[in-house]
Amino acid sequence: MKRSLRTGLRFLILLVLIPLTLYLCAKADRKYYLSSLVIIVLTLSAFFLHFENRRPQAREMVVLAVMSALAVASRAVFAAIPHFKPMMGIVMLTGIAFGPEAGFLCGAVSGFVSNFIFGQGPWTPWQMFAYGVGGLLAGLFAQWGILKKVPARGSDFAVLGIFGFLSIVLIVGPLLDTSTLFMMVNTVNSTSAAAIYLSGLPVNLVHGVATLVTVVLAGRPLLEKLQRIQIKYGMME
Amino acid sequence: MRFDSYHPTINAIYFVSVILCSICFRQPVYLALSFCCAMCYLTKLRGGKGLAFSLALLPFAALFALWYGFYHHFGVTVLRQNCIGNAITLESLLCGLTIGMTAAAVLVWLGCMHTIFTADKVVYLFGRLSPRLSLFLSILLRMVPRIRTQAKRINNAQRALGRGSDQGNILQRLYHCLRITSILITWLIESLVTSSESMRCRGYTLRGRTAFSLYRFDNRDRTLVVIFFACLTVLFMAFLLDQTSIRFDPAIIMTPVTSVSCLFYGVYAVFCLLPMILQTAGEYRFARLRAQMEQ
Repeated sequence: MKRSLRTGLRFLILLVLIPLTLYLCAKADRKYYLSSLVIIVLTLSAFFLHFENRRPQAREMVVLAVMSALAVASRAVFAAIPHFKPMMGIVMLTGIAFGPEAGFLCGAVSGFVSNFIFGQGPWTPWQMFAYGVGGLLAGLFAQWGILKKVPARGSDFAVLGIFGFLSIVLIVGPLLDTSTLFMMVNTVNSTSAAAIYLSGLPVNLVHGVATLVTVVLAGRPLLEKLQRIQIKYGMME
Repeated sequence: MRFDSYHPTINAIYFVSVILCSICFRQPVYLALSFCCAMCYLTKLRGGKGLAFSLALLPFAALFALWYGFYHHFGVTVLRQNCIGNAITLESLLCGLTIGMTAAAVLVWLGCMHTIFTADKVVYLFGRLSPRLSLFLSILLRMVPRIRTQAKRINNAQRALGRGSDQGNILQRLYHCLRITSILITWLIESLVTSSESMRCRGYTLRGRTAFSLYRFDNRDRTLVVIFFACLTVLFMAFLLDQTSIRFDPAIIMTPVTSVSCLFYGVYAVFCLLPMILQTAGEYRFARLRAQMEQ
């Protein structure tokens, strides 16, 4: 397969097929376990397409698994503070270090796994998608050179923090609110949509602040570690 | 001769069925039998701690019954009014007590299961379904003690530098703990990468790989399976005859107790006590043989 075709296919999967699954999930009542699994399979296939001719090796999956475990643990540790979820910060850092697909995979898996602690429901596929998109965006911005692979100066940290905050408040949070919109409201019109999105704003702001704090504080140590692994074992470059 | 000397499949069948029965059989006699047998077995397995754990669950069941009775108002036998004027009924209290006791019985059974059903059995059973899954499971289960040991080592090394988790004021301690966590994460990722590399080098992805295990399904296991299913068949009859259920709404309704139901109670008691009977019989036989040898 040609490189451009493969890139197109990857983004087709991540940005068209997965929202389609979500739409079908909202139509078919309470098939959320099935749609969660479909999303995981789709994400994995996008992740596999990322590798040119070889299958991803166990060591690459292992590093992503550790990052997901870390993300889930961070959500569990701060469970006492409402809506303060550092999870997205760690997912974004994974995306920055290992690229968009890895970020999406890490986010989706963390969303699925952490809901075994916090409760599964029709919102699980939506959370997986929203968290995945957060990781994907971070990976893309890092590829375009806007986010630094290892932040060193104050301005790098500022960009990182602002990116984390804005991507939560503008993209990830509204995506989560959309799931609320489909679950709670009978007729979707502009009034009910405005009500849901506005009532979700404070939650998203707290979530965004949590992400900002996480990426600024944990950004350097985690990204340094991940880059060290990348250089030492030559993986996911 | 403990119950865990039998084949893991037998252990799995037993615990799954006994926990399912405890959940499904709401009739008070069955519930009491299940809870008492589980309590005896846990005491046998863990001694005084097991007994204390089981008895400590009882007040929680009673508290749940009170809470349930306070919020649910079905039933015909009104005992009194609560502070906002809703009726507290005997039926809702008893229904709450039944739910609480069911949960307590399941917890005690889970405690027994935790003692008998060790990690290697879980890995063995999963290995029959998917060898790769069981490999990952075994790595994960092994990871927890490994992380704990490594954290202790890192802490010792850091303490030598004056940066241990218990040195300095509170802020410094927090900083030291974060440092240790950071070191631990680096170590964790690298050790996992190395172990996955070495697994690949030893050919874990090759075809025809078999997993070694000590377990063998022998005649003793076959006998036990037959006994289990005989008991379960009788219990299923009890279920079909509506002997095991109870209704609370609007009044307490149960199928009347006859002489046949006593048979069902007996079979259920035998089923619940079976692992303990086997263990006691085995211990008795070993003690007798030992006494004979000493003569």
